[in-house]
Amino acid sequence: MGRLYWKFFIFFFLAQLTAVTGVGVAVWIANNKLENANAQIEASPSAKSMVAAAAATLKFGGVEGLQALMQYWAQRPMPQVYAVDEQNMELQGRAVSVDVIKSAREVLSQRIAVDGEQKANVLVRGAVQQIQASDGHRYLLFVPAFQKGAMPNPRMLGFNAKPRNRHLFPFVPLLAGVLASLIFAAILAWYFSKPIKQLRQAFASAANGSLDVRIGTAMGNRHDELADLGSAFDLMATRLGALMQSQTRLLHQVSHELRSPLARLQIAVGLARQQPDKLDSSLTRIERESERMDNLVGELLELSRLESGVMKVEKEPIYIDELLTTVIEDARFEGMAKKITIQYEQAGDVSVLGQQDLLHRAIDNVVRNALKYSEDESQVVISTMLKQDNIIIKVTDHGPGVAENELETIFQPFYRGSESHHKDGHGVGLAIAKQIIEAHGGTIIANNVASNVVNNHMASGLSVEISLPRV
Amino acid sequence: MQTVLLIDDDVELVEMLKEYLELESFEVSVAHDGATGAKMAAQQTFDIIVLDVMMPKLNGIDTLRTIRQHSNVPVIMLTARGDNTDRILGLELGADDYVPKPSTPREIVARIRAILRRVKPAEESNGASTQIIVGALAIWPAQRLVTWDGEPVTLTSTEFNLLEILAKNAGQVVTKQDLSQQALGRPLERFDRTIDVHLSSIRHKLGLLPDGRHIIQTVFRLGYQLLKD
Repeated sequence: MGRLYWKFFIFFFLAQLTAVTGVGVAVWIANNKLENANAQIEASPSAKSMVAAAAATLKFGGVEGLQALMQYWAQRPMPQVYAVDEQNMELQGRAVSVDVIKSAREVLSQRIAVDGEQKANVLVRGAVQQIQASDGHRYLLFVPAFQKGAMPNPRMLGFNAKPRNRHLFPFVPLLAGVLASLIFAAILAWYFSKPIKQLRQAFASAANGSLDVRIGTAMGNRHDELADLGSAFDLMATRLGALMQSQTRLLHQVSHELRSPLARLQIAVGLARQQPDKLDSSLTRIERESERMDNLVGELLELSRLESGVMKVEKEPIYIDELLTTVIEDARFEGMAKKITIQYEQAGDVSVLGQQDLLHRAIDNVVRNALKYSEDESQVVISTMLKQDNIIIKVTDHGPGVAENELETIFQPFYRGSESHHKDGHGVGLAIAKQIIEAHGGTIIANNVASNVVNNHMASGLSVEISLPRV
Repeated sequence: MQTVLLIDDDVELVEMLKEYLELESFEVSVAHDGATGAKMAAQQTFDIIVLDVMMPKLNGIDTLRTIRQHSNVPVIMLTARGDNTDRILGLELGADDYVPKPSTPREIVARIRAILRRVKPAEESNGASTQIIVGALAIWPAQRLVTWDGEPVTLTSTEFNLLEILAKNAGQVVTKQDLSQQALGRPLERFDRTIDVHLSSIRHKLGLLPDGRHIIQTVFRLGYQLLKD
């Protein structure tokens, strides 16, 4: 049990204890008042029957009858019925304290709530009666409570001497209340602190690097904010785990990608040692490999900058046609070696908001990729079209295309078609393009073009569609 | 001239390595993917195969498995430095040794030579060697033949070399360092499991002694011992 548990426990317990004590004291005070009144008047069954007898005598035997009865009773060692009229005069002229009479009137009028109705208090009902006598007075009949020592031994006379501690503080119900509140406080504290403890443990293990902990099931079928917190944690752990995994994979691929040019470098150096006469060509190779590594490192840095979102896209209007024209100029020059022609189909000049150099880079990467995989003397088609609020830039090549299940993975870093042996580029270009396009609120997808007639021969190819929101 | 088959998807690397090996007087054939390589290994006989583990299509491990189905030709794997899983898996599948990639071509050639030298010792010590018999185990070094209880046992060349060394020193403990030097022609690296993997593989191929023990025993911290009767 953690500290939180004890805190919850103590607070709940104190709150309940305060409530129980408060209610207890209030009830005790109210009861005490009642009891005080009741304590002055005897309410035992025998007293009640005496009062009933006196009432009957008064009703049917008149005042004289009652007086006779009282005189008869007076000779006996037993509690006495008193009859008091409106002026607080006792029938027999006995002295009765005003307090007792007041209590008797109070008892007579005592009402308690039973089943929503106000009824006479059962405990004291019949202990005091008020009778309209024939002489016109209304007599109050009651037996005053015994005073200690006033009677020889009331118990012997068939009276149940009630213990006089009824007005004392109610310890038994209070103890029960305290016990109950202890138990409920314990349960409530456990109910709150248990999921928090589970959460804490889950966080601790996540901090230790094991992101495969899930608390969803441990929460049982709770449906509250704590359960929501648990599922939020699960979601976080899943996302973080996936992210970490992809980072690890990337690192693995990076080291592998860096190794390939290093391996070639090593062999080129070996060749240079082996054949000093061919030093020049070996040095050219070494130069080429180090350039490749430099490019790779540069692209990786760019990708990591884009992925971490550090790069802030400065929004300025960019005219797509203008941008494409510069890209295509470069591509035409690049494609000359493989005799690739580039066809540009433009559908109106629109502008998008974004950063010129980044968008240029993204589209350039896509076009270069198309050139790289194009067959010699084929055609790359670049077209734009408007679709609702977007502009779509489509780059279609006539190369081998990619396997259907790899259409999405080509945008992951270091993907290289399983069919390809190209060593130019590092498979980072399309990943960079994707990051840039997404930073601009656009999408990029790839499709295989089933067949195309180019220069009277059938060819398949890959079509990459970039969709950007236009201004 | 000794023949080498290079299987690696890195076209430029293969070209350069081929050039290098040819100047070291090897006859070099190349394959740029595992499937082609395995097919070539099945059709022709090579003295040694150098195989890259990381390849698209049929990867190096699968290629090795295919090659081992019908051939005991010595195989050297090119593995990424620090990648122990591929290394051990390759050795278990019957590769003879590995060279980390990147490595200098000189190192690759040294490894190739070390393996080849031990595969053809019969030519050097012509007829001088006689058969070695330890219990149920019989070894004919000249023919590179091993039998267990009269049944021939198929071993890769490195496995054969290791077993021969142990049999020649039957009853004595041979350290892993010595085994590596004599069978692979190189010192043992730190945390190098090559010898252990090879010996575990030999144990699987040989039967048990009548008392249920393996004829090759591990001597903790020292090395291995071939039990003598």
